[in-house]
Amino acid sequence: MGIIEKAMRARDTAAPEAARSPRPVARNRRSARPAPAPGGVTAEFARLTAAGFLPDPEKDASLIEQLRHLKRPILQNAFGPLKDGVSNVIMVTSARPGAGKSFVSAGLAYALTRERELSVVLADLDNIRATLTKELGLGDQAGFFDAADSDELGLESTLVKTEIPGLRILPTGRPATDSAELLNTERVRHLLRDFAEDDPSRIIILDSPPLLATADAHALLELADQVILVVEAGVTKLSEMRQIIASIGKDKPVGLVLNKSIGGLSTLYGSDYYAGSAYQR
Amino acid sequence: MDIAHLRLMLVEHAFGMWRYRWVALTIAWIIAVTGWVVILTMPNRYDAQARVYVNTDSILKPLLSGLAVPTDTLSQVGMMTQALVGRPQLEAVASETGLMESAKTPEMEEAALESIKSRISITKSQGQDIYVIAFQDTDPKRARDVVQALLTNFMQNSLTADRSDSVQAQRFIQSQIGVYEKRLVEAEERLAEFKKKNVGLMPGEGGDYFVRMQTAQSALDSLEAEIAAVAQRKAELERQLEGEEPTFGLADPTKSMGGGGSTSVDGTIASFETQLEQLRLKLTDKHPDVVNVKKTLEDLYRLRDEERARNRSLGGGSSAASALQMNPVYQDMRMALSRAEVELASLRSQLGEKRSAVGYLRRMIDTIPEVEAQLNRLNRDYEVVKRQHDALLERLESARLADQVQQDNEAVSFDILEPPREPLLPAAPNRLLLNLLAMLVGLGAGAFVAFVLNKLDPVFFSTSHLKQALELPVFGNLPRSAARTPPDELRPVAINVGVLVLVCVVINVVGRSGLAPLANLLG
Repeated sequence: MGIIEKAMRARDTAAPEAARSPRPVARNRRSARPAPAPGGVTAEFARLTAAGFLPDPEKDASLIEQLRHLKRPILQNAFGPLKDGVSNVIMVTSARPGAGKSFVSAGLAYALTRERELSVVLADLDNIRATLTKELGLGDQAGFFDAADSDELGLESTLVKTEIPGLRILPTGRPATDSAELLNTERVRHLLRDFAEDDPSRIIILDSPPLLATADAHALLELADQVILVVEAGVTKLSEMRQIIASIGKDKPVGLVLNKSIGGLSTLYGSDYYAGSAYQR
Repeated sequence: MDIAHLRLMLVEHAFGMWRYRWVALTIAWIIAVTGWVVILTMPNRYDAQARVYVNTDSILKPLLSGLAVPTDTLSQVGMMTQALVGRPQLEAVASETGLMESAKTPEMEEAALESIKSRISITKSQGQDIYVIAFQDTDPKRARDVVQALLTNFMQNSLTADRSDSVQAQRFIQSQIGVYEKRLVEAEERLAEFKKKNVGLMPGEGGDYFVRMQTAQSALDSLEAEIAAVAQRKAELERQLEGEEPTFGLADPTKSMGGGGSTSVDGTIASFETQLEQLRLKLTDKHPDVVNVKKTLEDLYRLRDEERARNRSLGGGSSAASALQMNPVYQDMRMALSRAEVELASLRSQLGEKRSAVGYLRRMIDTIPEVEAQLNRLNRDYEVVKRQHDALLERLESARLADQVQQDNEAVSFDILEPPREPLLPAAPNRLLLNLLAMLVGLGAGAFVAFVLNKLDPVFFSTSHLKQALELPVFGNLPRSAARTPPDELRPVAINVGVLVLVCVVINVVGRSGLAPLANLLG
């Protein structure tokens, strides 16, 4: 309980600052601070399209459109009038692996970069799979778990720039066998919280491990402001979803994303459905 | 619930069940293979049958109509059908065909007989006298044997049963004849006794009492009249004889000549003269009777004078020649007189008899009709018994004849239209159908299990379902990207089902060509 309370307090203290002037700060940060990535590496985000983690705007126009819809309620929760304090850490997770967390994370990040005045950080926290890190060729880069384990290395220094302005990648870093324990430490909590609160215009997307597969995700739950649960159409079971929703608790905004839905069924239930429901919580 | 929603639900279920396709396929395989093995080891059932025509319209029937006791052949055959599955028949058939060999205890025997009974079917085709006797068995030869045995029984039984029937009928008729014979004798004795007792009181040839009375009376009357006539004649003869000389004309020819002799009307005149005198005593001369008699007398006198005159002219010449001879007239008259006397005596004696007969009848006016009535009754009883007796005798003859007819085997003729044959192909089980069924049941059970599993823990295909089930807002619905479409998963499942169907077909083809030895080995 103590951990959560501390986190809440930390968020509360940061909130007024973020509320004051998020946009100028964001603009300043982006221009004033070039990415201190080791070796000045730039990730090529477009590679994800080829790997199937990003929709091709020409081929999958409808998917792009869906992602654009998806970001609305998230932004609403993060920066809208109902937000309390800084809630710009968005955890994307699922019950089981393979539901499409990385796809949703990447797509969401891509869609959010279209929002001006937003600094998007796509953090790959799945230490085991490290899908995005590998796909972007950042496997040998220092990342989140390096920063979590070291006193000198800050999160800022591990960010990797991409060809898209306003989008930076936070790689996983070295494989950590003790990732769950690491994530549960007070240090990591502060690290992430500070990173989020440093720049209120920043929006951090955590591509997390699946909730039912590892203990990592449960630790991350406490760090996130919003949780996006990816439901794989035809695969994710009702029982699994009930299980993970129960573990999340009621204090965080939770949104569902139905992924890999089958064409006929998704068009039958038009896009107006989820759009309306997004604001209801 | 609109069509779109229904379709969505169906598709959701289909996709949800698709998750358990391998489970479903495994179940389908297990059930199908198990079913096939079971079906393969099922014993074959062979049906043997015979068709029999029972000709009840005998050729002899029209000839025998009204003569013989009709034997209802149709009901006979119906009874045979029942009798065929009776216990003695079944036991006979069972022991003949060796179906009872395995039965050791009475309970087992009972069960075996019941089983045989249930496997026999006797059907009569509608409107025709064609019977189908069928039996089911695992052994084709035994099936045939049982039908053959049943058929033999059927034919034998119907013949012997009928014969014993008619023998029984004959026996009955004979016993009845015995009874009637006794009664007939009794009636006869009674009648004879009665007749003996009432001799003379019974109506004879002349009819009943009243007829007899009349006859007797009229016989008496005519006898009396006859007596009167004969007496008259005798009196006349005597009178004439007094006036006649035995030697007529010799003794007193003149007198006889002068007088002219007697004439044939002398007697008549005398009687009329007597009558006239008597009438005159009572009546005056003017009474018509008196007048009539007088007139008659005058006629008679004239006749006498004529005759006398004729006699005189005749007798003038001959009287001299015949005077010495016997008078022939005199002689004749004497003879006639004696004849009349004899006749009169005989008639008089008859008269007494007749009178006593009439008197007797008069006295018996109460007794005789009574006796007659009683006799009639006795006669009637006797007639009735006799008629019955005769009828029975006739029927016995008929029954004997009918029996003869049936013994000649022409009243019911059997025609085996189709003798029982050893069936080549089993009638059951229908392996093709059952194999197919096993496969379908397997697939169905698999699908059902998939359905249940899906229902127990469904997956999501629509945002509506998601929202409704989890009560959380749905932020997005990302369709399956064309680039990320997984490889066709339909193919392995389709291949699996295809192999299943193929195996089913192969089993059927192989099974058709005969896996009976294998089945026997396994069974």
